[in-house]
Amino acid sequence: MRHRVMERLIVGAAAVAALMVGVEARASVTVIGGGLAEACSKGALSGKTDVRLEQPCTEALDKEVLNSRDRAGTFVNRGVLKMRRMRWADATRDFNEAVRLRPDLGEAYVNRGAVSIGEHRYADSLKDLNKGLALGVEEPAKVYFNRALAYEGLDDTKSAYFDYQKAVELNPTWDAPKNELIRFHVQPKP
Amino acid sequence: MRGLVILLIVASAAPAAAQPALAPYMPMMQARDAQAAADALAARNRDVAAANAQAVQDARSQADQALANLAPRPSPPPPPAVPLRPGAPSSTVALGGFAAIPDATLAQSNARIRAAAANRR
Repeated sequence: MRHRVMERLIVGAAAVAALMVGVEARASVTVIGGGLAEACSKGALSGKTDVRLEQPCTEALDKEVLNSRDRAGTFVNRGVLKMRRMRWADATRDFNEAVRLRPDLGEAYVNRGAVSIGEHRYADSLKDLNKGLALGVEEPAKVYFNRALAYEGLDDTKSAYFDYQKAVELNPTWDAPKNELIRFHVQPKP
Repeated sequence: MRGLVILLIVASAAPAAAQPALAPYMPMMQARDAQAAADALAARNRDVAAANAQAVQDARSQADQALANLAPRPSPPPPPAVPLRPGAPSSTVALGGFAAIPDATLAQSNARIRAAAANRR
């Protein structure tokens, strides 16, 4: 009888120990607060191409507890950093993951569309860019600019012209679309 | 006077008499006229064709000149990325998986504990 009680105690202690180990292991990889995701975001916004900027993004995805939007956003930002270094396939994987997590995140689509432009797959890019515009993004001027690039790639000069104009209208202080518009000569139809 | 009258009659009759004389030559004259008309038409057509050829040549040379003057399009700029701003990833912890106790329930529980503690005394 006493032996059986002892046996139960040992089993119980082992179970508790196993639970403790589990909690301990999980605690070691969980950072609550989102500082790494924010660092990742700042890195993506900096416009720099340093590969080290990807590190906080990866760590945030591995270690931080993030809601689905933040997680998807962190995938987007890491994809942006990869895109800047022309790692198109890797970037696309991150954008795909962001779309899977949050199908309503416009930035995931528009950046995937930008990758398609980088790969000269202009027709493919239009689908993503239009989807992103429909969902809404923080910087729609960039999306119109990218769509203009895609239209030019497809030799649709007229549509490209109007999209560059739209980009200027949305962000009058941004020089890039203005510089592109310089190349255009518009003549009224006789 | 009579002679003058006769002369006039003869003179006025002369063209009528001449017509039958020209009759055998009429088809030849008509053929000559038709040939002249056809030649004129052909000449006009040649002029039009030459003018068209010249216009095509001019347009082609103008197009070639325009293309030669056209500056080569610079390589397209890289597509700008659209990162998410720090405000967008709100860095909040998803609380869905955590238990939550409404304030009223917590207050009732606290009251019961206080009551039980009071009874013990």
